[in-house]
Amino acid sequence: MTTRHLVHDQPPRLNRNLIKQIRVICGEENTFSSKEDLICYGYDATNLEGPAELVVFPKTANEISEILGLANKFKFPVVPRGMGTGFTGGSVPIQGGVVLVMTRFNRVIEIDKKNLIAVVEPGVITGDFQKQVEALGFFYPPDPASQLYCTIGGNVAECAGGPRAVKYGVTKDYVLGLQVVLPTGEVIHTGVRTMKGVVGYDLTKLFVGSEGTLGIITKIILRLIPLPEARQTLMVVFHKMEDAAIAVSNIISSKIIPSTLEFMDSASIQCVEDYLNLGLPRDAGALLLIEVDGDREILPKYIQKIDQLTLELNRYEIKIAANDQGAEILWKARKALSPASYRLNPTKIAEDITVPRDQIVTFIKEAKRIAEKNHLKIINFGHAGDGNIHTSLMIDDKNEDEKRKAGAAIEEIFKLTIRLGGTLSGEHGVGLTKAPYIDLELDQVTIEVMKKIKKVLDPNNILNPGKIFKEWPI
Amino acid sequence: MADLSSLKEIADKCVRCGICQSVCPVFAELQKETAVARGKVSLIKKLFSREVGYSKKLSTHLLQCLGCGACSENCPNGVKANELILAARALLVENKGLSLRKWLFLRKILGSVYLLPMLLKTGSLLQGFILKKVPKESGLHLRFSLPYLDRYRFIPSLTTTFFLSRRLNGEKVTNDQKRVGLFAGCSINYLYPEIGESTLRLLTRYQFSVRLPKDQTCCGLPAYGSGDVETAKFLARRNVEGFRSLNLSQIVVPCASCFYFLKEGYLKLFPEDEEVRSFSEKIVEPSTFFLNFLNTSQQDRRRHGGYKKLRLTYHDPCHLRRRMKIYEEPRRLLEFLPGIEFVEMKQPDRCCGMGGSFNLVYYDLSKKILQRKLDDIETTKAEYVTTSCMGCIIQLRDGVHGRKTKTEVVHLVEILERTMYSSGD
Repeated sequence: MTTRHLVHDQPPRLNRNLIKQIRVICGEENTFSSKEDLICYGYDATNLEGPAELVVFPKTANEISEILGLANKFKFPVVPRGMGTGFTGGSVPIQGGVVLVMTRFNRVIEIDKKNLIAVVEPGVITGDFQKQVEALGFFYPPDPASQLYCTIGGNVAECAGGPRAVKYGVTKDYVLGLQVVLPTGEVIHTGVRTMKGVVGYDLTKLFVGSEGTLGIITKIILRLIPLPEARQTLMVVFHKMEDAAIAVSNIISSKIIPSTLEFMDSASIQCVEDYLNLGLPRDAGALLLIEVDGDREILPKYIQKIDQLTLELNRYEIKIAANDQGAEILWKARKALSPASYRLNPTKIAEDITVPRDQIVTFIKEAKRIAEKNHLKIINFGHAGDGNIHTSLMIDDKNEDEKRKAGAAIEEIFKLTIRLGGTLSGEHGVGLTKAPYIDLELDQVTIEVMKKIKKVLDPNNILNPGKIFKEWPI
Repeated sequence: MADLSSLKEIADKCVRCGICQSVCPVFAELQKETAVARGKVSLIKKLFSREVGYSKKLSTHLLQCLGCGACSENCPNGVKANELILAARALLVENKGLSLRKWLFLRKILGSVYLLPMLLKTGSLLQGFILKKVPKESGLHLRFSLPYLDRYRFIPSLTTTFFLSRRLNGEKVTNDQKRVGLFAGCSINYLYPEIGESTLRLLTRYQFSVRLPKDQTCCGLPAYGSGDVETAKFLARRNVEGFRSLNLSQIVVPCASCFYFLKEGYLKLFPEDEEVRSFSEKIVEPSTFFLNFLNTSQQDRRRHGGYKKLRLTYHDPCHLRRRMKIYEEPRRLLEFLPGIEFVEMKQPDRCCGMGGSFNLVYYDLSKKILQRKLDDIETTKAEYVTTSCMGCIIQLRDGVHGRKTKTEVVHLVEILERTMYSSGD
């Protein structure tokens, strides 16, 4: 999108001698410099590209320390990367340098059943870890859409969320402590492995969501909770979006917190219908996909209550899944939305703004108006339960006029979000794509404090430069 | 072949979400972006924009793909990465030519009508000198390592009498619907004639008159998979001609990979060709074919009270399940069979790691991928694992032999024949 200009030609930051030294540190077989390898580690899920100069797969904090030592001495960038599934360009090496791939840090070090904590390395795949703890009756709730192929380290670095956030919170709510290699090479330990702990500043929270700019996470202490016994899914379709929004607040104020509360607007419903013909009403205003979990005995009570609450509103229909298979059918519409949306246009500008729950309707109406004014196609869907809306502009990337208009529309949508008391990013982070807009949300003094923190920890701007802040070097 | 602009269009559909990393069997072992569809598609895009050349590295990355299609199947945007990779291999051959080994094998041996049978005939007579018989299974071990062939690998022995050299009585059948052809393919012809025999006996039981034209040859998939479109086309043409004037209603192809290529691949090689189209329409694979007859002849089903049930599991060949979407038919067939207790393995559609010549070029990698499949098979405690692709059979037999497990790897038609007609009724 509009940030492509950030990626430009620049002189190499590494020389043959440095590459040789890094090879010695990580081993020949874990260091790659062929053109083909560099291309394949220069992008993430934003489709943005940067000129990686060397790709390394370290195995220990010590190796990372040594590389960072060299980086500070010879002033080359180091960009940490998990599975490259981020949505804001966080792992794209826009200023060249070394891409540090963390996937060899892939051990679940311990699962402490007595204290309900787990210690993992950052390269563990989130979904694999979840399966492992669920087999023991524990639960690690954060569920970004990419959970089957993203790393926990990436989740921590971006503070990933997911549909379950409405009930269970996001990644930061489960991180108790960290081992971090600082940009200058020292190894520190933050946080605790207890439920409480207030000794010193909360550095753990500082590193969670720091987008690989403050340090490289090499070990993570996570909190686990008991796995809910059962879950059940239902779908409610509404004539009007307003009613869906009222339903959301009524459900929550009646003290039922669903484990997920997803919504799709009318444009999303039509889009999926055109694609799959699932039999959803084309004239529907919105639909809610609701999942409740807990003890087996309590679920019918929740379902009944939701049924009653939505009946009072002008609902189109309600479908309650009898079992897992039924649930899968209901989820089909939501899961098909991504591929379906590309039938509108080849390029998606996907945002993850978050507004207070009671502003969702206002936001969607205004966002639609902005899109229409610019003759752009827009779909809105996402996590109604926590106000996190994936507002997506579908554009033709090759149409320069449309691209320009989309850029302007996004800025307007961001301003709207802030006006409504929201935030530019609920779960994706700032990275590259939102860097030009952070001063819409943060005042200058706040940004200066953040920059000071960055400078203290990373005086030479080694770690993941070009991200979060508008101007670089800071 | 697809033109460049349509290939670019496929590549542009990839938004690099990375979901292919969760399903690619090669990525699961190598853990490198160059191993997975997203990386390969990115490289192919750079090839189109001339930012990378036809380098040796690129060639390696393109060849390190099983073509199993798991990425395409799970891609939210429907990017057909496996087709793109095949097309890029063809471009590679077009621009850089084949490697000497592949050129020799594909162009000179496979592409020749006489040389392959002649060499293999000689081989079948000489194999005892370099290979050691493995007792029990009809297989061989190398007495010493050879290039491409690991010493401890289990190699199916070459048959001394090729399947295609057998004569069929070809009794006169008046009903045209009962006149079918049999496409043997290399594996049945040179390695496993018993699978061909089994198919023949089954067809005869159902009163079919079977034609086995001598002019048939390799289906061409190994050449196509290596990017050698020229040889693939040559072989395809020969097969189409070989079956041409036999007035057949259908052509049964026991091997799933040959089946896919004859039915779908040939249409891609010759898009507008009417003769190829009508050939393709006749191509049928065993599970669909026999299911038709079993459903209508329930009385065939042997009374099996008192017999011990055999535990059996089924492995989905990638070409059958992902390319041709055939996965219900074999299961319906197996569940129908008497004396069989059908158990599903954990990931029946996970590639076995054979991938044609992938297995020869990257044997260690192929074997690692196979281990996961073997684990899944072992967990079922099945006595038999069945499938219908000859590549999968070669691979699974190698694996089962290596682990010394008791599971027997059999072709679907063999299990069909054994359960329905084993007591020689």
